[in-house]
Amino acid sequence: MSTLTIDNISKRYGDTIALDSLSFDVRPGELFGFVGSNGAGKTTTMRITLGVLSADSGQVLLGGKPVDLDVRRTIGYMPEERGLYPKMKVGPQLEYLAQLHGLSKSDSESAVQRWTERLGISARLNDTVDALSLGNQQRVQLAAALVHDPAVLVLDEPFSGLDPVAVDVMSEVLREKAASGVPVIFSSHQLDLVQRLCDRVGIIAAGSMKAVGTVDELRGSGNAQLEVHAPAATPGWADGIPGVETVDHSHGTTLLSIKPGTDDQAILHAALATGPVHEFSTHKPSLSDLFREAVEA
Amino acid sequence: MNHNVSSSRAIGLIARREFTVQVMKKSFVISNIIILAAIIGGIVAYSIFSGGGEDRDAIGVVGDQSIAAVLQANGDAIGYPVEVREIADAAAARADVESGDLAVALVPGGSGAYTAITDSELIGALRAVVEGSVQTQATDGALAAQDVDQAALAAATANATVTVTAIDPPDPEAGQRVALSLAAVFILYAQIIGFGMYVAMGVVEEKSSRVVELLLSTVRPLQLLWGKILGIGAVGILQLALYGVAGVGAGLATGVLTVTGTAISVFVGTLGWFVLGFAFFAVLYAAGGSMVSRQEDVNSTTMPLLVLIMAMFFAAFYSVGDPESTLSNVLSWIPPFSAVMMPLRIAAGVAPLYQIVGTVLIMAATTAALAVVAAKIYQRSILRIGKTVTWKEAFAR
Repeated sequence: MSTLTIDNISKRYGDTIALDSLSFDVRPGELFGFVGSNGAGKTTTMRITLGVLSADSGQVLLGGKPVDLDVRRTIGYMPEERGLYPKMKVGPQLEYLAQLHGLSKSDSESAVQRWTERLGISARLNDTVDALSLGNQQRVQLAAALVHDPAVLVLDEPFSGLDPVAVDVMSEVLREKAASGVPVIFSSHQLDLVQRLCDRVGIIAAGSMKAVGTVDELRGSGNAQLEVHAPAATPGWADGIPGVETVDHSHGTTLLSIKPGTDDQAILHAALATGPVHEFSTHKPSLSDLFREAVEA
Repeated sequence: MNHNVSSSRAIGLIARREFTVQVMKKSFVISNIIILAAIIGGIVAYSIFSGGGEDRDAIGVVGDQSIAAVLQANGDAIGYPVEVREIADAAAARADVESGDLAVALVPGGSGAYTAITDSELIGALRAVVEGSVQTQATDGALAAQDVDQAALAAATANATVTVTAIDPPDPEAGQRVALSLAAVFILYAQIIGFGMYVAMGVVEEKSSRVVELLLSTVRPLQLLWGKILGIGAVGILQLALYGVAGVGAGLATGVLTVTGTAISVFVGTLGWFVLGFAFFAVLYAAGGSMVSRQEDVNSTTMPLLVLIMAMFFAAFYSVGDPESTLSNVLSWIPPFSAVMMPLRIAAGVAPLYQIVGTVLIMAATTAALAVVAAKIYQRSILRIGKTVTWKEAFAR
């Protein structure tokens, strides 16, 4: 299993810069969450990875080798715009796609059986796709990305439009594929889900990567927030402490922003000096906070 | 797991899917059953109502039947065979003529004279047969009375015949050739438009359902294009072969067609020219399909192709009557007109071998060159979702 590398990719549409020297890695066995606003460049990045679009410059590598058609065939892909033949039956359609990805007829049959059972759609093999509910179409789409036992998974918004049960199944499958050593990248706007699920996260804005790291790294890298409930304290009580900034002060509760590495014990002492302290708690920023920070910056 | 897919395997898989999907379509199966039934039923009905080809006039003879053989011999001699029936008496003869069973009835009078009873008048070949026979009968009787040796007389006059040397003899097969030409032209017209449209619709379907993005992540655009054209083209050939076998088979079996060799060469020629004509237009239809994003818009880009096909077939229908005209000769060398002019000329029996080979080569070369251009347009347009790409834009970039 090898690392998927996005190496310095740029792409313009006319005057619009869609991607500006974008670089990041998705390591083997890693579940990588790709987040960003609409139009930030997530889908463009994925399309370039799959060769559906070509980059103006830069390249995509798998295990250090440029991704060509033969490599691409080993990628499992779920496009943002879901696409299947609406009038073709689920079973034959998945077998066809598996065979286009290089499976023999018998391998494709058993893979389709396995994955449709796993995804709870094995009873629908003889239905045409357009006869299925949107949620079930989504499951077929995921099956289409998985049937050829891909060496890399690239999924654009795999969770959109899924019910909670399907979200659980999808999460489980993604974790399992990552655990088997496959690099998995997916984009999502459901940040709590990304935070819970992903080993690493990349935040993209305006075509360039604003932050990449594990969720803990990212949360640790930003300013933490400290909430202090000291009813006797006067506004500005903490302003003298280095690395501390008052965000809000009301009804005896002060919200402080503290830079990484600031000594929180010094803050506690200063708080106690004003009188009793009933609450003293740090909040690491959530992924949503980081996301807003990155997008607004 | 093996992830290598050769180009031929990819094209083969795509072609097989296209073929299967097309022949399994309910509408396709039903319309073909109806058309096949109409072809066979139409030919059988034609053979029944046209009375199996020949429809002889019946002549009734009352009394002495010795004139019957003379009537038949004279009829055959002038190319107007007649049927002779014995009738009991003049009253019965009159009744049969009135009912239309007999064209004319001969009732003997005295000394070799006959009264011919007919509906309104006795004209043309039938009159010639009747009068000639009465004359012959009387002459033979008179000669016999003079003791003339009939055999010697026949021998003496045997060489006094007229031999016709026609500068432009009528082709006895002309009618069938025209029918075959018309059938070939009409079927080619329907097949090329129909299957060209299937290609365009198939391309748009992949584009509008966005499945094309999934496909193009694993196969090249040209593999997808050729797989589709081969798959749909194979269905076209199968359908054409079925129509041909049904039409020619029913025609020969019922005797409506008697020109077996011509019929088979028209059939083979039509099949071959369908392949070339379809290939020529299929790449263009694929390009046209790739330029739009919705099924409703497909007519806007395929309209110029339809106009070209219509022009071809107007030229063809115009040439059916005169397949040796300069227009037909010139157009048959120009692709894509060759695709319909050549089967027509083959059916008319005016296509020399060098012309068949030459026009096939020119058509094939043009199609190959066009395929490169059309494939470029297809490749550029297939992932451009949204606004319809115009032909001008498609060629420009």
